[in-house]
Amino acid sequence: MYRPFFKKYGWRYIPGALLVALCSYVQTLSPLVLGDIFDLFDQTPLDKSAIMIDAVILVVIAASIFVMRYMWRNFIMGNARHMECMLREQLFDHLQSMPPSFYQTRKSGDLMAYAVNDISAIRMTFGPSLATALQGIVTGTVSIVTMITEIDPRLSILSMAPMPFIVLIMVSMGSQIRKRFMVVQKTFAEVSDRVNENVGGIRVVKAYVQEENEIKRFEELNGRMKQASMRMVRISALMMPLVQVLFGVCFVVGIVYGANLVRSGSLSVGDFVAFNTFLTLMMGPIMSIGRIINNLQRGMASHHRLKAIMDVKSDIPQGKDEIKECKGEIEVKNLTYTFSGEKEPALKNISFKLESGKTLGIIGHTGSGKSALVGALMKFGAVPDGSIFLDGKDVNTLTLANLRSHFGCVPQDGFLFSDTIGNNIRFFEPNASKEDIDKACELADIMETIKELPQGYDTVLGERGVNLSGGQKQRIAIARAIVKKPSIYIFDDSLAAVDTKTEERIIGNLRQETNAKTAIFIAHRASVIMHADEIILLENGEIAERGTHEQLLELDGKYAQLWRIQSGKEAQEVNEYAG
Amino acid sequence: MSMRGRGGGPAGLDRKLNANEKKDLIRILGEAKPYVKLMLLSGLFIIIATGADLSKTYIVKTVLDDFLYENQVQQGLHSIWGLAILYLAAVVIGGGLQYLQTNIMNSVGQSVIMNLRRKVFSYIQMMPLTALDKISAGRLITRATNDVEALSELFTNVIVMLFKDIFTLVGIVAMMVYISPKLALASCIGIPVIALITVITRNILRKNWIKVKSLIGQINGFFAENISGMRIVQMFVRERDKMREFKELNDDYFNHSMVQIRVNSMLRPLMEVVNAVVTSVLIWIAFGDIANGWLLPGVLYAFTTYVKQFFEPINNLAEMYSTIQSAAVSANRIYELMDNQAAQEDLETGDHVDRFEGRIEFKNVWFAYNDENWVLKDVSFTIEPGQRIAFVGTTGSGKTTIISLLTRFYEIQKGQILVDGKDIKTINLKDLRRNIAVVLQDVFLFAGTIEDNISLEDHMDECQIEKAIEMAHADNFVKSLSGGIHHPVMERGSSFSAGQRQLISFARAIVHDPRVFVLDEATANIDTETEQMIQASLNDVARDRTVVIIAHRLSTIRSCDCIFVMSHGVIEERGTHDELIALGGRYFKLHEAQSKEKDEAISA
Repeated sequence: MYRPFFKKYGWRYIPGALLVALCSYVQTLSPLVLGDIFDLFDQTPLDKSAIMIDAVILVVIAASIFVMRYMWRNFIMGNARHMECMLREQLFDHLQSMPPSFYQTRKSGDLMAYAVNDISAIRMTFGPSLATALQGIVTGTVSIVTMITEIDPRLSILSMAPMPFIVLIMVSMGSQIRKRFMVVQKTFAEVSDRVNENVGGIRVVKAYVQEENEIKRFEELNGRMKQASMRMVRISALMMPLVQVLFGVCFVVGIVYGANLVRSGSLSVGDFVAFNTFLTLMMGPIMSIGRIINNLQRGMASHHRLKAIMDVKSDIPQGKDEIKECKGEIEVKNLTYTFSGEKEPALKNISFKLESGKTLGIIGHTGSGKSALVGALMKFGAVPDGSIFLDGKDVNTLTLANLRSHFGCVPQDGFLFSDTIGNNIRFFEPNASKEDIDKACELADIMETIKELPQGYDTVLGERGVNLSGGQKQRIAIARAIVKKPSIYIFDDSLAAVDTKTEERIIGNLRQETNAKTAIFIAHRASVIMHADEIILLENGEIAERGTHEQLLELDGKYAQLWRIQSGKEAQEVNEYAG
Repeated sequence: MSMRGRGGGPAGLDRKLNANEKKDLIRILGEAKPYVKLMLLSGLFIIIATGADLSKTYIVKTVLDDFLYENQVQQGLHSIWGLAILYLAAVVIGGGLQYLQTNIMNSVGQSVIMNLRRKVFSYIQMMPLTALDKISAGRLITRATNDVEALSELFTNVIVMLFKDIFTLVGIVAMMVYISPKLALASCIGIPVIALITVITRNILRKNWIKVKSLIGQINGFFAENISGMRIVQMFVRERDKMREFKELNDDYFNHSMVQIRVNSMLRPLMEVVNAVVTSVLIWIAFGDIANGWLLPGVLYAFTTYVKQFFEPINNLAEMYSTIQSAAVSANRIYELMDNQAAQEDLETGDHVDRFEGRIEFKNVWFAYNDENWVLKDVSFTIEPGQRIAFVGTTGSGKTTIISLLTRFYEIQKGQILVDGKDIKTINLKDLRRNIAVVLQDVFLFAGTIEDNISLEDHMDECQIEKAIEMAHADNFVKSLSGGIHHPVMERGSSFSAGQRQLISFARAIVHDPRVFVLDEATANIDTETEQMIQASLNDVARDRTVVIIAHRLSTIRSCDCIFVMSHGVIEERGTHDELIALGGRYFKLHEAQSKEKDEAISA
């Protein structure tokens, strides 16, 4: 998962880490220089030039820290951003290769959480946390070593004695705070859920005069929210003062013991000042320990979650062959197709042959396997070898991209993207000219609607734009399929939300357009498919009846019955399907 | 998809506050009025704690000057030990007061927030449907949750920090002037430089951050949308193009976030450089005085430490700006909702009526949801107690509206609605609604148990509930569930079928024992079996109650005492089933059409 990143940007960690180390080291020099200044002030006569040289050195140190820090942050923090963006691209790429079965078992909200929270947690680990840890280790080690070797070992050890306790407090209280913070967040989520539900069911609340009860119930939750916050505050407010008091003890020991050492002559005034400054310098890294541990834990958890998702492999096998010019001849031989993760097959023993340029109609109840057949043809699930052939080639020998590129499918729900109407119809089709789009819109009977919009094709759809009706969306989806100029059309109940008259008009247009092309019409309604060269009636995943419209009427079976009901009472029947 | 393009949350504002927002910011501070004493106490603690904090440097300076550079006599507190004890005392007092102060302010802040949250929630409860119709559910939810939460920071942190930071700055300058006015003047030259750099960089960062946040929003939106539309992308083999589109967004995000990193990595080190320069200048200036013996070197220690302490408060103040800004916006939104006092239902006043007889009368009622788009035009009818009547008509004919008017969800414009001869405007709203139970078309179930959903928050014993379930013919279905009436109901009842939800809501209506029973009949999504059950239970329930049915299927209303046929807001025909069939009008046609449809429904 991280290999592409480390291959491309991994080297940057080396100069980055070196600069962090160097920068932290240089930082530990300034207390010594400051100490030297105070020593120089303790001499008589005062050596002004020596003091001023030290002062300039202080500025030089600060300036070089400035430069180095800028550089390492670019290397390390920048790297973490690179990683974040690469991981996000990898995830997106991966999600695009996942079959529908993958999405059926996962909530889109969870998938979003991977993209947002987990990737950002991993970034925190590889960026800020890594740098802070490195910085802390170098600063801490160099400071301790310098204090012991350059200043005074006894003074150092004695005054640093409280520090392990500080670390202990930071870690243990830190985890307590985190736990309580999680309670706060959970309670807040509960508040949101409650308000959400209440607003959603406000009619029931009002109809049953539950307003006051609802307020009372909310009050209880509201109180809990305050309690949870206060529980967290009580401990989080304690941590900082406690740590500061303990640091205060370090300083007090340093002052008393250090000052006495100076007075007894075994320590210089400058060393006393330098020692003080070192103690101050060490506060930063110690204070950040809690945060680093927290980030590392979160990063690890996120890493595992993300990896689990990235390790899922698509269960659809694909071949290497490609069909350049597709004639659009489909043959299905004894196809038995089961959705991934289910036991009962959705399609049983389906066989049919669809010659190039012919039209197939499929009719059946909800759940009879109509849409499963579309899924199988376009390989949205694994199909057995030797069951589906396109232009005489087993579809399993073709690449998925090549197979699907020959189809122009209009699915039940005309899903459109939050983009302009034009872009939705064009949908990255590079060869689509303005004329093509116009023609497609005419055929899909959506031209009038688009013309009426002030921005025409440039009208933005979706949340921030115009909302179209279900029927209008379906017609745009039809135009989108036509613009693609596919070899095989599939209309999967694409007109369910369109009224009968418009439907007739569109069917007429489509029959004309698909005249020379292979087409599959799937519908509830016989009127949509009656002109097909062959009609298949599906029932429980099996072919119950087949033949032309006339043949089936003659058979006087289920199709004939359906036809009689639908043709006789077309007007009322619209209601039935709209529901 | 909701995340797309929305900066959302705090820190997403790239404009100056308007006058209203400023006014509301002040007003929201007023919510803390009951806690003024605690806040003042907290302020006092901050002053003492800050003073204690600043005195630490002075104590070390004194040790340096009096006992290390000079060898003064140690006496009482004026000794190394004495000063060390003072230092410890300063640390302990400072820490202790800080702890107390944080607790006090958080408790104040949380109380204010809790009160505010209750106010907003209560306000929403009492909004009439006319007002609720005009505002999206999402907005209402945000007002009571995120907007209130955005103010929490204001009370718990911002006010305190503002006070503390200003006091720290003043304190530092005071200490400096006290120690050496000349050096103080010199080091104060650094303040405008520090302030200028901080404000400029913070400003760049803030603006860039808004851009970064909006890009994050777009990336999330893109992700969410493509997850929903993945099938289309795969069908059309557009994975690569979508990837390219995504990459563009992602790269844009990367570039903007790098600006954040670069500018951020300059700020603090730049402060260090300024500090070092100021320190050098101080050394240079102080050198003469120290050489003459007018000053001792300890002042340099004090000044270098104090100068370093300048940066933090200035940085905080600059950062606080965006918090205050988003608090003002949230305050403005909350008050905008709540200022419309007229839009509150009054559940308290009005005449109390314990139990209705159940006589309902509409007298020349005119009603429009807005302006003069009349939904009901001059509608009059009378329903006698214990009668069972029905309204039929196409969608939009006004039949559902009648129920909403009867329970006063909306106020009529002209005419009068009477229950038991009393104008419903004079009847206490609680009593009115309690006596009329409506089983809505769109059944809403709350997360909880089946029992909760039937009894709601009115406490009832299990016996009553069991009986209601039986009467609703839901007992078979409920018994089949693990835990029976204690079976959990998922959010919005998503684990039950539409028919099952309907049965539960039926039991809900029964258990509340209304005098008038209104059934807004659900259509397509109920299977024949459930429909029959509801029919059967309706017969049980109807015995001594007035029943009003909003019918979509005529088969269910044959036995009604009277059927009203509505069309475009007018009652076109009225009478019993047989009378209306004999009439041969609109009802007759509807009846003809539906009896055919019924055959189809079985075969389709």
